[in-house]
Amino acid sequence: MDVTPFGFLREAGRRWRDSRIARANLGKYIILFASSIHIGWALLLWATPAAEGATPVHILSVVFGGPVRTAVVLLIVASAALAFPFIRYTVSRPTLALMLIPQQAVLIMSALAGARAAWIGHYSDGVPRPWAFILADQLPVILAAVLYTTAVLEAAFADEDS
Amino acid sequence: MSPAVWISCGALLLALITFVATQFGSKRTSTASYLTQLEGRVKHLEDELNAANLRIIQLERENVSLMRQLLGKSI
Repeated sequence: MDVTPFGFLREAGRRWRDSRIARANLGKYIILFASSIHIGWALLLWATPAAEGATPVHILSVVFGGPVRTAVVLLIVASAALAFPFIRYTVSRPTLALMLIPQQAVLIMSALAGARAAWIGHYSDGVPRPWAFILADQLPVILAAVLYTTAVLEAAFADEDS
Repeated sequence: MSPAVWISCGALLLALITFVATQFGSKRTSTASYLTQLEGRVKHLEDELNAANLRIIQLERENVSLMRQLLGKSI
Protein backbone atom coordinates (compact mmCIF):
# COMPACT_ATOMS: atom_id res chain seq x y z
CA MET A 1 0.00 0.00 0.00
CA ASP A 2 1.19 3.47 -0.89
CA VAL A 3 1.90 5.17 2.48
CA THR A 4 2.23 8.69 1.11
CA PRO A 5 -0.59 11.16 1.90
CA PHE A 6 -1.76 11.04 -1.72
CA GLY A 7 -1.77 7.26 -1.66
CA PHE A 8 -3.71 7.28 1.59
CA LEU A 9 -6.32 9.61 0.13
CA ARG A 10 -6.61 7.50 -3.00
CA GLU A 11 -7.08 4.33 -0.96
CA ALA A 12 -9.65 6.05 1.25
CA GLY A 13 -11.53 7.22 -1.86
CA ARG A 14 -11.50 3.70 -3.31
CA ARG A 15 -12.82 2.20 -0.07
CA TRP A 16 -15.55 4.86 0.11
CA ARG A 17 -16.69 4.12 -3.46
CA ASP A 18 -16.75 0.35 -2.93
CA SER A 19 -18.36 0.36 0.53
CA ARG A 20 -21.87 -0.82 1.18
CA ILE A 21 -23.51 0.40 4.35
CA ALA A 22 -26.60 -1.76 4.00
CA ARG A 23 -28.27 -4.02 1.48
CA ALA A 24 -30.80 -1.33 0.74
CA ASN A 25 -30.01 1.15 -1.99
CA LEU A 26 -29.52 4.33 0.06
CA GLY A 27 -29.95 6.89 -2.71
CA LYS A 28 -33.71 6.61 -2.55
CA TYR A 29 -33.63 7.55 1.15
CA ILE A 30 -32.02 10.86 0.29
CA ILE A 31 -34.93 11.50 -2.06
CA LEU A 32 -37.33 10.43 0.69
CA PHE A 33 -35.61 12.75 3.17
CA ALA A 34 -35.80 15.77 0.85
CA SER A 35 -39.40 15.03 -0.16
CA SER A 36 -40.46 14.64 3.49
CA ILE A 37 -38.97 18.03 4.28
CA HIS A 38 -40.74 19.68 1.35
CA ILE A 39 -44.08 18.07 2.14
CA GLY A 40 -43.71 19.13 5.76
CA TRP A 41 -42.94 22.72 4.68
CA ALA A 42 -45.95 22.68 2.34
CA LEU A 43 -48.30 21.53 5.08
CA LEU A 44 -46.95 24.11 7.51
CA LEU A 45 -47.31 26.90 4.93
CA TRP A 46 -50.93 25.93 4.45
CA ALA A 47 -51.53 25.69 8.19
CA THR A 48 -49.99 29.00 9.26
CA PRO A 49 -48.28 32.00 7.63
CA ALA A 50 -45.66 31.96 10.41
CA ALA A 51 -43.84 29.16 8.59
CA GLU A 52 -43.00 31.62 5.82
CA GLY A 53 -40.45 33.34 8.09
CA ALA A 54 -38.06 30.39 8.27
CA THR A 55 -34.92 31.18 6.26
CA PRO A 56 -34.96 28.16 3.88
CA VAL A 57 -38.72 28.61 3.30
CA HIS A 58 -38.70 32.40 2.99
CA ILE A 59 -36.56 32.42 -0.15
CA LEU A 60 -38.98 29.99 -1.80
CA SER A 61 -41.95 32.17 -0.85
CA VAL A 62 -40.24 35.21 -2.40
CA VAL A 63 -39.32 33.34 -5.59
CA PHE A 64 -42.66 31.60 -6.13
CA GLY A 65 -44.87 34.47 -4.98
CA GLY A 66 -46.50 33.67 -1.65
CA PRO A 67 -47.02 30.79 0.76
CA VAL A 68 -49.84 29.07 -1.12
CA ARG A 69 -47.99 28.94 -4.45
CA THR A 70 -44.86 27.82 -2.62
CA ALA A 71 -46.78 25.01 -0.95
CA VAL A 72 -48.15 23.88 -4.33
CA VAL A 73 -44.69 23.95 -5.92
CA LEU A 74 -43.19 22.02 -3.00
CA LEU A 75 -45.86 19.33 -3.29
CA ILE A 76 -45.33 19.02 -7.03
CA VAL A 77 -41.54 18.69 -6.85
CA ALA A 78 -41.77 16.27 -3.91
CA SER A 79 -44.32 14.11 -5.73
CA ALA A 80 -42.22 14.01 -8.92
CA ALA A 81 -39.11 13.03 -6.98
CA LEU A 82 -40.95 10.38 -4.94
CA ALA A 83 -42.25 8.81 -8.16
CA PHE A 84 -38.67 8.39 -9.45
CA PRO A 85 -37.78 5.08 -7.68
CA PHE A 86 -40.98 3.43 -8.89
CA ILE A 87 -40.68 4.20 -12.60
CA ARG A 88 -36.94 4.69 -13.20
CA TYR A 89 -36.70 1.65 -15.51
CA THR A 90 -39.78 2.43 -17.58
CA VAL A 91 -39.14 5.99 -18.79
CA SER A 92 -36.31 7.71 -20.64
CA ARG A 93 -33.23 9.09 -18.88
CA PRO A 94 -34.00 12.77 -19.65
CA THR A 95 -37.45 12.30 -18.11
CA LEU A 96 -35.96 10.75 -15.01
CA ALA A 97 -33.52 13.65 -14.66
CA LEU A 98 -36.38 16.14 -15.01
CA MET A 99 -38.17 14.40 -12.13
CA LEU A 100 -35.27 15.05 -9.74
CA ILE A 101 -33.77 18.31 -10.97
CA PRO A 102 -36.68 20.57 -9.82
CA GLN A 103 -36.33 19.29 -6.26
CA GLN A 104 -32.58 19.78 -6.47
CA ALA A 105 -33.12 23.39 -7.58
CA VAL A 106 -35.47 24.03 -4.63
CA LEU A 107 -32.97 22.47 -2.22
CA ILE A 108 -30.14 24.61 -3.62
CA MET A 109 -32.24 27.77 -3.24
CA SER A 110 -32.83 26.97 0.43
CA ALA A 111 -29.16 26.09 0.91
CA LEU A 112 -27.96 29.33 -0.69
CA ALA A 113 -30.40 31.32 1.42
CA GLY A 114 -29.06 29.66 4.56
CA ALA A 115 -25.46 30.29 3.53
CA ARG A 116 -26.28 33.93 2.78
CA ALA A 117 -27.96 34.34 6.16
CA ALA A 118 -24.80 33.04 7.87
CA TRP A 119 -22.69 35.42 5.74
CA ILE A 120 -24.68 38.57 6.57
CA GLY A 121 -25.26 37.59 10.19
CA HIS A 122 -29.05 37.59 10.44
CA TYR A 123 -31.95 35.32 9.54
CA SER A 124 -34.52 36.11 6.85
CA ASP A 125 -36.93 37.40 9.51
CA GLY A 126 -34.31 39.95 10.58
CA VAL A 127 -33.14 38.31 13.79
CA PRO A 128 -29.38 38.90 14.17
CA ARG A 129 -27.19 36.05 15.32
CA PRO A 130 -23.47 35.22 15.14
CA TRP A 131 -22.48 33.69 11.80
CA ALA A 132 -21.49 30.40 13.47
CA PHE A 133 -24.89 30.19 15.13
CA ILE A 134 -26.74 30.59 11.85
CA LEU A 135 -24.37 28.28 9.96
CA ALA A 136 -24.81 25.55 12.57
CA ASP A 137 -28.56 25.96 12.26
CA GLN A 138 -28.62 25.92 8.45
CA LEU A 139 -26.00 23.20 7.93
CA PRO A 140 -28.54 20.34 7.57
CA VAL A 141 -30.29 22.13 4.69
CA ILE A 142 -26.98 22.99 3.02
CA LEU A 143 -25.70 19.42 3.32
CA ALA A 144 -29.03 18.03 2.08
CA ALA A 145 -28.60 20.02 -1.14
CA VAL A 146 -25.00 18.82 -1.56
CA LEU A 147 -25.82 15.16 -0.90
CA TYR A 148 -28.92 15.27 -3.10
CA THR A 149 -26.81 16.58 -5.99
CA THR A 150 -24.31 13.79 -5.36
CA ALA A 151 -27.10 11.20 -5.36
CA VAL A 152 -28.48 12.50 -8.68
CA LEU A 153 -25.03 12.35 -10.31
CA GLU A 154 -24.34 8.89 -8.88
CA ALA A 155 -27.71 7.66 -10.18
CA ALA A 156 -26.79 8.89 -13.66
CA PHE A 157 -23.24 7.50 -13.72
CA ALA A 158 -23.83 4.22 -11.83
CA ASP A 159 -24.35 0.87 -13.57
CA GLU A 160 -27.87 -0.34 -14.26
CA ASP A 161 -27.67 -3.07 -11.61
CA SER A 162 -26.24 -0.97 -8.77
CA MET B 1 -29.61 42.56 -7.96
CA SER B 2 -31.74 41.40 -5.04
CA PRO B 3 -30.66 38.33 -3.08
CA ALA B 4 -33.71 36.36 -4.24
CA VAL B 5 -32.74 36.90 -7.88
CA TRP B 6 -29.14 35.77 -7.59
CA ILE B 7 -30.08 32.86 -5.33
CA SER B 8 -32.73 31.60 -7.76
CA CYS B 9 -30.44 32.15 -10.78
CA GLY B 10 -27.60 30.34 -9.02
CA ALA B 11 -29.84 27.42 -8.12
CA LEU B 12 -31.19 27.16 -11.67
CA LEU B 13 -27.66 27.30 -13.10
CA LEU B 14 -26.44 24.51 -10.81
CA ALA B 15 -29.52 22.44 -11.61
CA LEU B 16 -28.92 22.95 -15.34
CA ILE B 17 -25.29 21.86 -14.98
CA THR B 18 -26.41 18.75 -13.11
CA PHE B 19 -28.99 17.98 -15.79
CA VAL B 20 -26.40 18.25 -18.57
CA ALA B 21 -23.98 16.08 -16.57
CA THR B 22 -26.65 13.38 -16.09
CA GLN B 23 -27.25 13.25 -19.84
CA PHE B 24 -23.56 12.55 -20.52
CA GLY B 25 -23.62 9.87 -17.86
CA SER B 26 -26.82 8.39 -19.18
CA LYS B 27 -25.30 7.76 -22.62
CA ARG B 28 -22.49 5.71 -21.09
CA THR B 29 -24.95 3.86 -18.89
CA SER B 30 -27.24 3.15 -21.84
CA THR B 31 -24.32 1.73 -23.80
CA ALA B 32 -23.23 -0.34 -20.83
CA SER B 33 -26.75 -1.66 -20.25
CA TYR B 34 -27.13 -2.49 -23.98
CA LEU B 35 -23.89 -4.47 -23.84
CA THR B 36 -25.15 -6.26 -20.76
CA GLN B 37 -28.36 -7.14 -22.58
CA LEU B 38 -26.40 -8.43 -25.57
CA GLU B 39 -24.19 -10.56 -23.34
CA GLY B 40 -27.27 -12.05 -21.71
CA ARG B 41 -28.82 -12.74 -25.11
CA VAL B 42 -25.62 -14.44 -26.36
CA LYS B 43 -25.48 -16.57 -23.21
CA HIS B 44 -29.13 -17.59 -23.73
CA LEU B 45 -28.49 -18.54 -27.35
CA GLU B 46 -25.41 -20.55 -26.34
CA ASP B 47 -27.50 -22.46 -23.79
CA GLU B 48 -30.14 -23.19 -26.45
CA LEU B 49 -27.45 -24.35 -28.88
CA ASN B 50 -25.98 -26.70 -26.29
CA ALA B 51 -29.42 -28.10 -25.51
CA ALA B 52 -30.08 -28.63 -29.24
CA ASN B 53 -26.72 -30.42 -29.67
CA LEU B 54 -27.51 -32.72 -26.75
CA ARG B 55 -30.90 -33.49 -28.31
CA ILE B 56 -29.21 -34.32 -31.64
CA ILE B 57 -26.84 -36.74 -29.89
CA GLN B 58 -29.76 -38.39 -28.08
CA LEU B 59 -31.74 -38.79 -31.31
CA GLU B 60 -28.71 -40.22 -33.12
CA ARG B 61 -28.30 -42.81 -30.37
CA GLU B 62 -31.97 -43.73 -30.61
CA ASN B 63 -31.60 -43.96 -34.38
CA VAL B 64 -28.63 -46.34 -34.03
CA SER B 65 -30.50 -48.42 -31.48
CA LEU B 66 -33.56 -48.71 -33.72
CA MET B 67 -31.40 -49.58 -36.74
CA ARG B 68 -29.78 -52.39 -34.74
CA GLN B 69 -33.17 -53.71 -33.71
CA LEU B 70 -34.32 -53.57 -37.33
CA LEU B 71 -31.24 -55.39 -38.55
CA GLY B 72 -31.61 -57.99 -35.80
CA LYS B 73 -35.22 -58.75 -36.78
CA SER B 74 -34.44 -58.87 -40.47
CA ILE B 75 -31.69 -61.41 -39.83
